[in-house]
Amino acid sequence: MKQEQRDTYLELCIPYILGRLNPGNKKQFEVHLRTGCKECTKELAELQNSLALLPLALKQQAPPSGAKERLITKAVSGKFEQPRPEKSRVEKLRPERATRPQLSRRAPEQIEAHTATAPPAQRSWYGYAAAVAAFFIILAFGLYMNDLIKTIGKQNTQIVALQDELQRRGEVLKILQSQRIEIVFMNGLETNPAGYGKIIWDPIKKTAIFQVANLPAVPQGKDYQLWIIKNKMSISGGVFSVTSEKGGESYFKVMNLDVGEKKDFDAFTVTLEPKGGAPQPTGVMYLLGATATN
Amino acid sequence: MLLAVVAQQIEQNQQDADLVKRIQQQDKKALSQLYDLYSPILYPLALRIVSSQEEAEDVLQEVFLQIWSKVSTYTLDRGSVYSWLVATSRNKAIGRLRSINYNRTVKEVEETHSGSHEEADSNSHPVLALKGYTETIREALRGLSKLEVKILELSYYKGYSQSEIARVLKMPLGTVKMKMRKGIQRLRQVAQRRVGAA
Repeated sequence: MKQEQRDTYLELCIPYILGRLNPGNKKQFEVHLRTGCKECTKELAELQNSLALLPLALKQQAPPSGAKERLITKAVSGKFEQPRPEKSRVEKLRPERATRPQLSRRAPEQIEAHTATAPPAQRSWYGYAAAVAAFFIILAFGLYMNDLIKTIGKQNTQIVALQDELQRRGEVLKILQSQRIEIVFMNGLETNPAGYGKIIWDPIKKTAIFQVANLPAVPQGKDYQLWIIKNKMSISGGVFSVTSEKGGESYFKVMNLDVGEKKDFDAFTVTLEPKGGAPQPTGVMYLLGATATN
Repeated sequence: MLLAVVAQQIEQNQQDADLVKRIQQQDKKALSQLYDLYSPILYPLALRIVSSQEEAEDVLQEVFLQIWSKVSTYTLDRGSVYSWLVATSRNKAIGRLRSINYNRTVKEVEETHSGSHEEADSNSHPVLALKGYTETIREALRGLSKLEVKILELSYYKGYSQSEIARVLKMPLGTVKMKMRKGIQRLRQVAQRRVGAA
């Protein structure tokens, strides 16, 4: 055995006798001892004898009263957990076929430094640190999930709105694709001159789309209502509301449209009515569109 | 004089070995004798490590029951009964210390170990062969610096590895190893004086 390797083994004797070699190096060291290394065996025996003197410096103290009796009672009764055999670290290990142990090539202090177990206080801190870290990870994950759920909710609302919008645009497109269409332009009145709108309808199918723009957002408790004026009678074409988004522009399907030709009606108008609409126009007029023929 | 001391130690160890043999044959009188002989040394050792009277008593009980149940691997060629008892008690106590969640910070450990060994009662050991060694050990420890004693104690009584001690005391690992070797060397000189001439 090379001197360097011998020194490495001798240096491992102290952590070994104190039970602080990591399992891998301990196993390798014990393999080495089984080869019958006299130097290491002697070193370990001397270390054990030397360290055994340390408790002599402690103040002697008898065990609590009754401890011996408890021990003897337990021993005689045989009612005790059979202790596991504990090999003395200087136990003369049975020599076996010499093998060349592959000790780590790290320096001895590194081997010892990589001892797996941390001191009790430090292990405890590791435990606390891990618990605190786990708590914050869970908290962060919870907050993230909460945000995610809110975002998903918002996106779902947006999806519904977009689907609605898509449907309306689809209906506009359907009407525009019709063989024949009629359009009535509606203009803003004194209350809101910037407002405008169109009624686009298919006289053959008697379906119509109403497009408005630049109307103010409806106040709370109010709705806009479309009226079809026919023979000086006002027929409700449906209620709607607009928001400030997209400049108050929107499309609606016109209800109760039984007119076919332009000559069959007088005008279209939009008024602001109580929420849900009124049987007859009562509020301020915002848009008006009359047929050219009238 | 030296021959007489050595003869006394050999005789003591032979007596101890006989006691162990009788204990393994379920002789409770022998168990009682060995307990009386060494428990005043082993109990404070365990107590120093686990810091609990109940745990320390359990450690002693385990050690002696190990001999009684013949699980013990002790034989004479493995050194003195005393060394074996000390090593086994220390290992069991350290094992318990590791299994108990001692919520102690490094600061607490340092504070605990800022002092040195408690002063032992000189020459009060019941074991004749150990008489006189109390003062010698104390002298040997006095010859070491406070830091060297602390390193030895953290290692022996708290089961810290050299690298852990280096971390706790914030010093290079090489220094810790050097100082520990010095402390053990001092103890070894005392041990050699004890068994030495043989």
